[in-house]
Amino acid sequence: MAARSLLQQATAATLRMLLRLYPASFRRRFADAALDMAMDDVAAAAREGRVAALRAAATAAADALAGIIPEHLAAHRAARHRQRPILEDVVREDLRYALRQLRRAPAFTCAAVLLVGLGTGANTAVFSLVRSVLLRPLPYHDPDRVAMLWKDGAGRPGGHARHGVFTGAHVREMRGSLPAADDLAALESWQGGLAPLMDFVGPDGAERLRGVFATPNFFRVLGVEAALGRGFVDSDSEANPVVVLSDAFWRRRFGADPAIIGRTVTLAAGSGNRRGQRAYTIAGVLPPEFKYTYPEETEVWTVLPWSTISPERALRYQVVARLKRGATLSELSAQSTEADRTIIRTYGMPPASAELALGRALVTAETATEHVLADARSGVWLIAAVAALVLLIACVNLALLLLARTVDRRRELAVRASVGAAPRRLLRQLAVEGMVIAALGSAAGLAMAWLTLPLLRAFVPAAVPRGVDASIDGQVLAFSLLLCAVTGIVCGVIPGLQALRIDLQAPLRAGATISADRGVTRTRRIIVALQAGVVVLLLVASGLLLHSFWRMQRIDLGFQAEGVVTMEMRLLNVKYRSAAGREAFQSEILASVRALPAVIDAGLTTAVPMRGVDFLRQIERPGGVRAMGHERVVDPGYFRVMNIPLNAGRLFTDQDTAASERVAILSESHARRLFGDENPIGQQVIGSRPATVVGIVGDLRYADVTKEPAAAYYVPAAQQPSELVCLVARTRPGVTGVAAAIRRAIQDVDPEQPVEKLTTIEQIVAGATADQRFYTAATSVFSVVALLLAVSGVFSVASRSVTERTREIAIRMALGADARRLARLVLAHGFRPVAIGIAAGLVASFAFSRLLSKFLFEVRPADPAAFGGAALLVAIMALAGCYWPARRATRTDPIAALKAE
Amino acid sequence: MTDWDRYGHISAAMGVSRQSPRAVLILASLADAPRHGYAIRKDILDRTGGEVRLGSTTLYRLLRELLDDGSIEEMTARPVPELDDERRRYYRITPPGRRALSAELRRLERLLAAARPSLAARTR
Repeated sequence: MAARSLLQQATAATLRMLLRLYPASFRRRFADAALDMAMDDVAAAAREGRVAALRAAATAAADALAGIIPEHLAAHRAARHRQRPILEDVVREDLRYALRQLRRAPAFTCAAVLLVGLGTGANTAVFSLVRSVLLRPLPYHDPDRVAMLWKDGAGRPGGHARHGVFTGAHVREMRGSLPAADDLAALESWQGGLAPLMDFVGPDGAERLRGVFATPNFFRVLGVEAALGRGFVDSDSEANPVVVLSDAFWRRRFGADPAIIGRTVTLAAGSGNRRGQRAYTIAGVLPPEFKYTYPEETEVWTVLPWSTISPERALRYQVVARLKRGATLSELSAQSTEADRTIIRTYGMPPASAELALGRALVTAETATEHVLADARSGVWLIAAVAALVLLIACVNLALLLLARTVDRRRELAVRASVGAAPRRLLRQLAVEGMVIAALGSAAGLAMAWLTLPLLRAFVPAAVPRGVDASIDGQVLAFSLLLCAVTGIVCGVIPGLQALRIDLQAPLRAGATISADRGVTRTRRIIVALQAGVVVLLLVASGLLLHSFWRMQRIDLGFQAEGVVTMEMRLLNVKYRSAAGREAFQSEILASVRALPAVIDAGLTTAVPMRGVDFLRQIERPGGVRAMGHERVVDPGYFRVMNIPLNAGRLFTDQDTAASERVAILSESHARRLFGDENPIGQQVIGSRPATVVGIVGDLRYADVTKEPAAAYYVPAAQQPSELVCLVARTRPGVTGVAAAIRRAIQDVDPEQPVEKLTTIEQIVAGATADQRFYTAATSVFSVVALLLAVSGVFSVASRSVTERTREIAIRMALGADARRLARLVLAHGFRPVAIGIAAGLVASFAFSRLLSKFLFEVRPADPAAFGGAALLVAIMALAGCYWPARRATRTDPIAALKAE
Repeated sequence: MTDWDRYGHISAAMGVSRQSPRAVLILASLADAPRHGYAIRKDILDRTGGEVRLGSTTLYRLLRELLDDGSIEEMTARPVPELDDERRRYYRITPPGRRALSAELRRLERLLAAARPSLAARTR
C-alpha cells in the first residue's frame, strides 16, 4: 500500500510538473480535471497490480508530455487569429467606411479639409521660416563655441553692429591673454572700411567686390573647410597672396569651374596710398552654405598676416574667438576686458566711455548665433505665435463642424448601435474618420505651404537673416506630421467624446426632432467665445502694429526725397588721390548728370539716409563747448534735391570754393547744443578744420526712421572733396531708364570707376522699415484669416441654433410673438458668447500687448485705437454673422414648421 | 481537386479535422446526451469495444479544441440534479457541432463507399 501510494505521489508530482508546462489558458481551465482523471486511472489500475499501475502512470505521463507542444502551437494560432481581424477592420473596413462617409458629405469634407489645410499650411510655412532663420545652426563647426567680441561703446550689444571695434593693439594683446579661448582671429571687413572693398579687374572692366582681410587662422576658428582647394594656412603671407572665393562668386564669375584652384586673379585692395593691384592665387572655394557677413555675404577672402597688425589707434578690426570647451562667455568677456584695460594703460588710449571708472565690463562676448539672430528672433517668434493662434482658431472651428456632424449623425450611430455595434467600435470609426480628415487637411496644408513659400521668401526682409533660404525639408515635414497628429486628435476625439455623451436612443424614439442637447449647445457657445477672444487678441496685435507702422510712414524725416535716385562711388583709383582730382571728377559728373533730360536737379553728399556710412565727428567752439555730430560733405545741390529746409543764414553756393573762406552749415540741434540761444551765423567752429557757420538747416532722421533726428555738420564738397561720393538726383516723374542714363553719364566721365548701390531714396527708406512692414503684414493677414474663420463659426452656430429651435420659434410665432422681438432674441442668443469672448480677449490683450512694445513706434501697448478697433470689428462682424439666421427665424412659417415635425 | 479534398476542407473549416477521429467520437458521444469528462471517456470506451481509451490530458485538449471552435459548450444547468457531482463540468454539443459531425460522418461514409470495392477486389 505504501509503495502504491508512493507511485501515486510520484505520478501526481510528475503530472503536475508536466501540466505546468501547458499554456496558461489551458492550465486554468483543465489542469485540475486532467490530473484528477489521471490519478483516478492510476488508482484503478493499482487494484490490478503494480505493473498495471506503473503502466497507467507511464501512459498518463506520456499523454501529458505529448500534448505540451501542440497545445502551445494551438494557443499561439488562436492568439493570432483573435488579433488579425481587428487590424484588418481598422485598416480596411473602417478606412473604407470613413472614405464613403466623407464622400457622401462633400460640403462637410471640403470645409473640414480646408480648415485643417489653412491652419496647418500657415504653420508649416511659418515653421519653415523659423527653422531656416532660428533653428538651423550657423554653418560653422560647433557654432555655440564661436564667440564674437565687442568693445563697449564701439559696437554691439544693444546697438547696431559696428564692424571695426578693436585697434591693432587690442588684437595683439588679446591674442595672448584669453585663456577662455582656444584661438582668436581678427578680420577687417568691407562693412567697416574702404580697404577691403576689392576691385576684381577682368577683361571687361573692374567690378567692386565685398572683401575681408582675415588672419590665417580665421577659417580654423570657425571650423570651416573649403569645399574646393583649401582655406588659409599659417604660411600664407603678403609675399605670395592668396584669395578664397565664396561659392556664389565662384559660380557667378567663374561658372563653377572646378579647375579654378591655382589660377591667379588681379585684385585691387587697400586704401589711400596703399591701394594697388596685385595678382592673387586662388587657394580655395568655400562651401555654398558658408556665410559670415549678413545680410550680404563676403565674396572674396584674403589673408591678413599677423605681422601687419600694428598697434595703431584706429578701430579697424573685428575679433572672433573659439571658446574653450567648458569655458563661458562671461569668462571670455572678463578676460577681454582685462586685456582692454592693459591696452588703455599701456598706450594711454582714452577709454571708449566713462564706464571704465565704473568698473563695468568694457568688452562683451556673445555667440555668433546670438550676433546674427538676436535682432530677428522676436519678430519671427511673433509671426509663429500668430500662426499658432490661427491654427487654434481653425481647430476650434473644426470642432464646431464636427460637433454639428455628430449631432446630424446621431440617427445613423443609434441605428448602428442598436444592431449590435459595440460603443468602442463606433468610437474607433469616428476616430478613423477624424484621422482621414486630418491627413487630407495636412496634405492640403503642406501643398499650401509649398505654394506660399516663394511669396514668403520674396517678402522676407534683409533684416531677417537666412529667411530667403526657407524651404520644406525633413524637419518641416516632421513638424507638419506633428500638426497632422494634433489635428487628428482634435478631429478624432471630439466627436467621439460627444457621441459618448449624447443619448443614442433618443433619435429612434417617435417624434424626436433634430436638436442638440444642452451639453452640445454649451460646448458650442464656449467655442464661439474662445474664438472671439483669440481673434480680438490677434486683431489688437495687428492693430497695434498697423498703427505703429502708420505712424512710421507719417513721420517727418526732415527731408523729402520722392523721385530721388542715388548711387555711390568710392574714388579709390590712384588718379583720385589728389583733392584736385576728386574735385574735377565730382564737378564733371554733376555737370553731365544735370544735363540729362530726365534729371531735374542733382547733388552730392557723403551720406545717404538709412544706409552705409555717416561719419561722426566732434565739433567744438573755440570757447570750449564740444558736441558730437555727423559730418557730411555736400555740394550746394544736395539741400535742394533733398528738400532740406533752411532755417537761418544761407546754403552753400558755387562761390564756396577751395580758394574761398572755409564755411560750414549746422543742423538745428547741433547749433543749439553748441551755441544755445546765441546766433551761430558768422561764428567759428572747429571740425577737421576751422570754419565759419553760414547757415542753419533742419535736423534729419538719417540713421533710422524710429531714431530721433541726430545733429549734423555740413561742409562744402569743393572745400573738402571726399573719396566717398553719393550722387542724389531728382528725376522727372514717369520717366523710365533714368538710373541707366545716369550710370552711362558717369561711365562717360570715367569708365573705370565702379558705380554701386543704385537705387531710390524712397526704396532705401522703405527698406529701413521693411522688417516692421513684414511683421505687420504677416500679423494682419493672419488676423484677417482668423477673423473670417471666427465669423464663419459664429454664423454656423447661430444658423444651427435657429434650425434646431424651429419648433420653439414656430410655437412662439403661432402664439403671436413679434417678429422683431424674435429676431432680437436670436441675435442676442448668438451674440452673448461673442461679447464674453471680446471682453476676455481685451483683458488678455491688455496682459500680452506689452510683449509687442519693442515693435511699436510712438504707440503705447495699451493703445485705445487698437483695442477699440479690434473689439468693434469683431462685434460688427459677429452681428453680421448672426443677422442672416435671425432674419431667417422671423420668416418661419409656423404652420409649415409644425406640420413638418 | 477531388471531392474528398473538398469535403475535408469543408469539415476542417467546420472545426472537425479529418486527422482527429477521436474528436468525432467525442462529438458523437455528446450528440447522444450532455456528459461530463469521465462519462465521455467511458462512453467512447464502450462504443469502441474498449479499443479507444483517451488519455486524460488528451481528452481535455480535445474538449478545449471543440469548445474553442464552438462545436460543444459547457452547460450552466445540471441535467440530472440527483446524480450531480459538484466537481464535474458537463458539456453538450452545439448546433454547429452537430452539423460538423454529420458532415464528417457523411464524408466518412462516402470514403467507405468509395474504398470498399478495391478492398473487395484485392481479397478476391
